[in-house]
Amino acid sequence: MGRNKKRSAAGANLWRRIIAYGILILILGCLQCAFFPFLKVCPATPDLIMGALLGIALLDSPLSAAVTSVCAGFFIDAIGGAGLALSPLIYFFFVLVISAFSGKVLKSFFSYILLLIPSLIYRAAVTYVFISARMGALALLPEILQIILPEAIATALFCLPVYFLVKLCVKPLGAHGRFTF
Amino acid sequence: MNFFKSKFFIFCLIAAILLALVPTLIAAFGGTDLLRSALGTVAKPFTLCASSVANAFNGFIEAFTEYDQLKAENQALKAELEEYKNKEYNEELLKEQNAWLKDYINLHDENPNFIFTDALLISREADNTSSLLTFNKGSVHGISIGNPVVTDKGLIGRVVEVGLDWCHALPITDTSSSMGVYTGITGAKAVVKGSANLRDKGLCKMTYISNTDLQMNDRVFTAGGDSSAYPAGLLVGSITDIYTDEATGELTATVTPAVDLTDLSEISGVLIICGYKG
Repeated sequence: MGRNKKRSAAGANLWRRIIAYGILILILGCLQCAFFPFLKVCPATPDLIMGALLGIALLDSPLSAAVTSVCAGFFIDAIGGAGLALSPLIYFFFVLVISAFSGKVLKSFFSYILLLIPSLIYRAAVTYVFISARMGALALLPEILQIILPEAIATALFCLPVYFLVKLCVKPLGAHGRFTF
Repeated sequence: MNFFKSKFFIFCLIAAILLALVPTLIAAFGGTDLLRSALGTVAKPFTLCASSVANAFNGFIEAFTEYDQLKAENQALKAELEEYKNKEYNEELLKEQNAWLKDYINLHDENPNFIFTDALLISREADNTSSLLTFNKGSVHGISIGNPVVTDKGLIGRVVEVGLDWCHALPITDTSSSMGVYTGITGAKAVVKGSANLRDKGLCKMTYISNTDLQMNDRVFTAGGDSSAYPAGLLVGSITDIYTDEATGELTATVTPAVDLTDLSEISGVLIICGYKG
């Protein structure tokens, strides 16, 4: 009886997570693909999904972040990508990288800002690899100044409020549950 | 670290690889991933809304960021408009000048012995007894008392007072004006002078008519002569009324001057005959 109750609670929790993170990814994905690219004042498109995954990994669990990363990556490619669709892999590996640190820090905004630094480095490395793959070998400094640095600044700036959005989603979920099959 | 050791990690990794590679391969072979297509369709209203909001935000920001540019553009366009307005005005002036010069050349051709000086009407005195016209040329320009003042249309009057760079002219409609004339068709000789009754109407009175053979609309010219202030042949006007004066019983006519002296705007292209050749 106790075991069944646990299972149903976990199931309900799972559905709550799916809905909460699903809405979050939908909103952030639309902002990332359809709002910021059209904004003239913004120097580059920020990676809000990365900020959300960081928040989920920090405030919830790496497991939730890993599942969300695969789905979010697929969604981003569906609405904003063409050709190569490697976002699920890219975000999944990001969660793997960040999970190495997220378990060792306090669940706070300061920790989030701290973990944003390796996140931005990861993002910059991925961007550089993509640009090099598409346009051939390029000189590093102009690339940094024109593409990578604006992207990092925009991501750092606009991911700060994403932490609070993630916190808003995580709070009603209570303590994270373990996924079992 | 439990997550990395769990089977769920492998499951997620396989899912990530599949979700990355399958759509990529489908796209590479020119196909369409149904799941991606469905997700895109579902997300379309949200992305449309987001892009509309972004465009609205851009429009709002442009009101501030492009204000200086638009202001500068506006000022440049205003300056250009002003320039074109000036050009248009100058063109009009040139047209008028050209027309005046044509008339001048015409008048000069008709009177090759006259020495002309162009003048501009700058003011007019009008009271119950006098209607002097003031022009912008004077003694330094060779103007002297008695010089006839004409336009291409006809006689205006004569100079009665001269300053350094101005002169007063007495129009032919003034009560003090009087001159010997002849008619163009019938050749009748007469005297045309100003009249108190007709001055305000811009008309003159013809009296001392040598013969009764007068015709309506016949042109009247200055007779000239040694004692006359005017040279011969200047067009004065035309006869517009013939009647018998009630007081004197004499044949009298009304002459309408060729130049309308009641309308100052008509007095343009003025020339003062300041001398004679030979």
